[in-house]
Amino acid sequence: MIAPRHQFHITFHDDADGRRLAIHGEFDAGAVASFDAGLEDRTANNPRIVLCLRHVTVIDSSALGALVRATAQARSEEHSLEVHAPLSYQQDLIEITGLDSLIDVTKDCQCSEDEVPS
Amino acid sequence: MSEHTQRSISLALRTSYDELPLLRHVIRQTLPPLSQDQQSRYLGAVTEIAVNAIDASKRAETIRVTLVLAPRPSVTISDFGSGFDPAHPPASDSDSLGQGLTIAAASVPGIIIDSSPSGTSVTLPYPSAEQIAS
Repeated sequence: MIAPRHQFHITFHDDADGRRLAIHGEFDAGAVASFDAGLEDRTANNPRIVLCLRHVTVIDSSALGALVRATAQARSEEHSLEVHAPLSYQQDLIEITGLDSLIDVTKDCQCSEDEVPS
Repeated sequence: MSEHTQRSISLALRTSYDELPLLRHVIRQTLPPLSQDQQSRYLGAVTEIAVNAIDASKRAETIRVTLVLAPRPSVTISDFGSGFDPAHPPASDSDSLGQGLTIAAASVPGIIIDSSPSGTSVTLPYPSAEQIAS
């Protein structure tokens, strides 16, 4: 019933610089547990992680809280975690909440466009 | 039917985060189409308010959502919690940033909050035709 482009899921991509997680769909309070599990299962021992929000259609403060916790966890393990937030509404949310002082945010995302689900 | 006649849809949703995608789906299907950016902002605000309502009224098992379709569309989310002082909103139970109401108000101008000891209703005006066209 829910259009595929709005269904929450994560795709994983590896390149020379580390592991990139592309988050898709609606990232809300109901999706945080899936996000936490995916992050824990698929990023262990990876010193550089990128979380790309290019394909996220809705994000709420619960999801933003999950990004803050993920950043804190990565830092505690002396790993790097960078969040790509290329869309206007995402950048406004980060500014409203002051998250740019808590997480490493890049607005200029160069991640591939070819992962957009139909 | 007069053009001023109010047409609305009322939904009772379980107090579960699993209901959030359904709520957004119904809004997308019944209210006028928005640009992707407008839709992300509006539905993000609706999600913040719905999560607050779910957290506030778990003992009541449901929250109520009213979609006004015409003449001026809006979404009203009502819970059956114990209310709060809008000047000092409580933190959410959802392990969020505790800024849900702040985010919603910044994303959707003109939010109306009506809170009493028997519950809280929050109305989010839908973007006007002029805002949608801009």
